[in-house]
Formats: sequence, structure tokens, C-alpha cells
Amino acid sequence: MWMDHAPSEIGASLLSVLSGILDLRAAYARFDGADGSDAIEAWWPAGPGPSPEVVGERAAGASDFAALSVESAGPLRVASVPLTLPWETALVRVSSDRADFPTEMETHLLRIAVGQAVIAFHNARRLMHEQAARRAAEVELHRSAGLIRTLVEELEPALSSISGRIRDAVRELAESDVADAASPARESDPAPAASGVSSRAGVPASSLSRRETEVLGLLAQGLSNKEIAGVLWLSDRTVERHITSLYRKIGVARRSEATAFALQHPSSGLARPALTD
Amino acid sequence: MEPEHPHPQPVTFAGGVLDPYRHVCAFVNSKDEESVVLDPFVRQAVDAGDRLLFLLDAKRSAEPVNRLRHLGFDSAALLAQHVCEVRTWADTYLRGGRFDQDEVLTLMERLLRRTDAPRVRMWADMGWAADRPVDSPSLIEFEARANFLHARHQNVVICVYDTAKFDGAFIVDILRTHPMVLLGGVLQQNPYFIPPSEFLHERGARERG
Repeated sequence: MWMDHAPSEIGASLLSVLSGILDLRAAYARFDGADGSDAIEAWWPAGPGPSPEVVGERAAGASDFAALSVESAGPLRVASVPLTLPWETALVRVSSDRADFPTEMETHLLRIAVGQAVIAFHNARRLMHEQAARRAAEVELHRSAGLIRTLVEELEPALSSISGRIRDAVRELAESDVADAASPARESDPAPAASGVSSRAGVPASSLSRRETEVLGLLAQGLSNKEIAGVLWLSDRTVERHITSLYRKIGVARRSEATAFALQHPSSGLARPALTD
Repeated sequence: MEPEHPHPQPVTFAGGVLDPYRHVCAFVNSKDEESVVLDPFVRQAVDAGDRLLFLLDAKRSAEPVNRLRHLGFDSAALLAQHVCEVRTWADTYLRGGRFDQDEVLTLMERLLRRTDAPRVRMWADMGWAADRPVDSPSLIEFEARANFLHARHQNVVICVYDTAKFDGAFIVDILRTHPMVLLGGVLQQNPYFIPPSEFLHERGARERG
């Protein structure tokens, strides 16, 4: 019944319910947290303070669920329901001008209502604490995110500069490899080095024949000459001839350079080298 | 129908048995997923003395060779013996730069119904159709008609579709034309398969109506 209510609302709501059911003259409720903190009071009817006959304190030494006690205050009958739970203590006092107040049924209803209210209080307090903890965590998260953002903004120019220098170094190394390729081949290779070859950068891939393009593609994917011959249904000798020709046309002297050329000309339909083995 | 070359062992693929149906549509999402099913398929083929036939994008034509090498086989020798054969899309589905289902069916007949050859395990990457939506209706009809051909031989035909590259309507139609399906790495008999004569009749009626 009091699922989404704040603790202060639960007390007032409890007394409103009791007054309606029990035909009361006045009512008072006090709820304390286990350590006596978070005390909440409510009274009915609304006014600057509770009616004097219902104001009271829990008797010292009251047991967990003390028996309802009834006293007379002049013409009025006052019933007190103290309640002690591990997390909460409560005291509810209600008054009526009926001589037979409270009946057995009214006593039963009073106890149930107070018990329900105490449980609701506990849940409401716990929810409040959890919400406060979440708000604090969100504030801390926001603060940390701000710090990280500031750090990234400060470091970003330096990181960009470093990556740019690395890219430049790689480019210079690649260009020096091309310059070295102009000298005679040093490693054994089925296709002998071409002489008087022009710079690779200036040779279009479209100068290769269809077969040479196929051979280059397979070579760049890591296939051996025999494998290329097997895939294309050619003899080993024919493959070697194609390799010689394409090396000459693209201005390279070794397999690695031919592979690099194929990588640099993806638009010609040449394959990317294999990533396995 | 009596098999032309009775084989002692049915082909297993992705945990399932390709018998009596051997026309599969394989939906794969990644190269890793492809390798999981293709590696054992290739190994089993070589061990059983079958032939492997790959129909691929030219840019990936070295992959089967590299896979054989990776599995420990002498790939150059297998190629020389024609145990493994690689054909590109330009040599098969897109001869002359276009897809003609009659021409491709004739080619398939030639590749798969040779009486003097061992069993063929064909792995056909259908990625060529991803950028050719105009060919989709013809391809779907081709896949349905291919079932008539595949009923007359014992070879295995696996049509590989990358689900990320094709739209849902196309995939549903492709599902309806293959009796076996590989989905999520598991082979199963395709509950959505429609016998080709019925499928083609429905399709014809839909187009006329």
C-alpha cells in the first residue's frame, strides 16, 4: 500500500487510514531508526501539534511487539501500540470517545496497520539511502569523466604528432627500399632481375596482361610458383616466364617487392596476401 | 537412381551427414566461422581421395591453397594432381562479365557429371551476387533448377552465402531452393526447402499473375 511513499508520507497516511476505520478523535505516530536517528512524527487531525492525550513516549523496556495498552484520559480512551524491530521502533497512540474502544477487531486492525507501516518505513528509508548513494556515485563518475576528458584533450596533440612522425618514417623506409631495388638482385629468385628498370611508382598495373595480373595476384597471396601453376593450369616454365615479364613491367626484382606493388594497387583487382602461414 | 560411382562413405559436413541430399546452402558470418567447417571438410576430402573444387573471387583464389598448406598437405602436388582446383567467378558464374543461368548450368553439368572422375566436393562462394541485385531472380531460379542436376550425381555442392551481404527476402528464397542448410555452424535438413518443380511452378505463377 505504501510502496512508493516517502517516510514522512507513510506516517500521515497510516493515521488517515486509522481515523477512517476506527472513528478516532485523535492519533499520533512516531517512528525511529534503529539507532534513534531519522525520527519521524505524524499526528491527526492536522494542526500545529498532536492532541495532548495522544502524545507519549515508548515505555522503557518495551518488548518486540508490546501488548496494546489502553488507558483513560478523562472521558477519552487512549490505545497505545509500541513496536520494536531490528531496524525500527514505533509508537502509535490513538484516542476515541467511545467507552468500548478498542474492540477486539479494532485491536487486531490497529496492530496490523502499525506493522505494515513499520515495514513500509524500513523500505522507504533504505530506498532513500540507496538513491542518495547512487546520486553520490553519479557525481563522482561525472567528475572522473571530466578529468579523463581533460587528460585526453591535453595529450591528443602530442599523440597525433608522434603517430605522424611514425608514418613519415615508414614512408621514408619504403621509398629507400624502392631505390635499393634499382640495384641488381642479390637473392636467388626464379625470375632474374630486369635491368634498366624504371621506378615502380611510375608503372601502371594496367600494363600487365590478364595472365600476368592473375599470376601477380596469386604470388602476392603467398603462393609458390608450383602452386600458381597448379591453380592456373599452367606449366612451371610458363609461370616463370610470366613472373619475369611482370617483374620487368612493374620494375621490381624480387617477390616481396612484387607483393608490395600488388598491395599498393588494390584497384587493379590484385589480391591481398594471405594472412595464414 | 543408381550412382555412377558408388562411394563407400557418405560425406560429413559440419557435424551432419550429406546423404541423401548433397546440395547445401551455407550461411556464414565470418572467415573464422568458415574455417571451422571448411578445414575438416577439406581434410576429409583429401583423405578420402575426393576432388576439391573451389569457385571464388579472384582476390581469394589463393585461400584454398594456403588452407591446404596450413593443414599440412603438399598443396602444389595436390594442385598438380588436380585433387584441388580453383576457379574464379570470371571463369564460372560471370563468364563474359554477366550471369547466364543456362550457361552456368551447362558448366556445372560438365564439372559434376564426369563419369571418369572421383567424387567432387564443390565449395562455391556466391559473393559475386551481392553487388548484382539485378541477377537475384535469375540466381534463385538457377539454384532451384540446379537441384534437378544434383539429383543425378553423387557430388557435394556447397553454396556459401555471407548473410551480411544479402537482404532478407533473397535469403528466404535461397533457403527455399536448398534441401540442406548450414546455419550457426550446424548442418541440418532444411525445413523450408520446396521441391524444385513446385518452387518453379509457384514462381512462374507469381510472375504471370
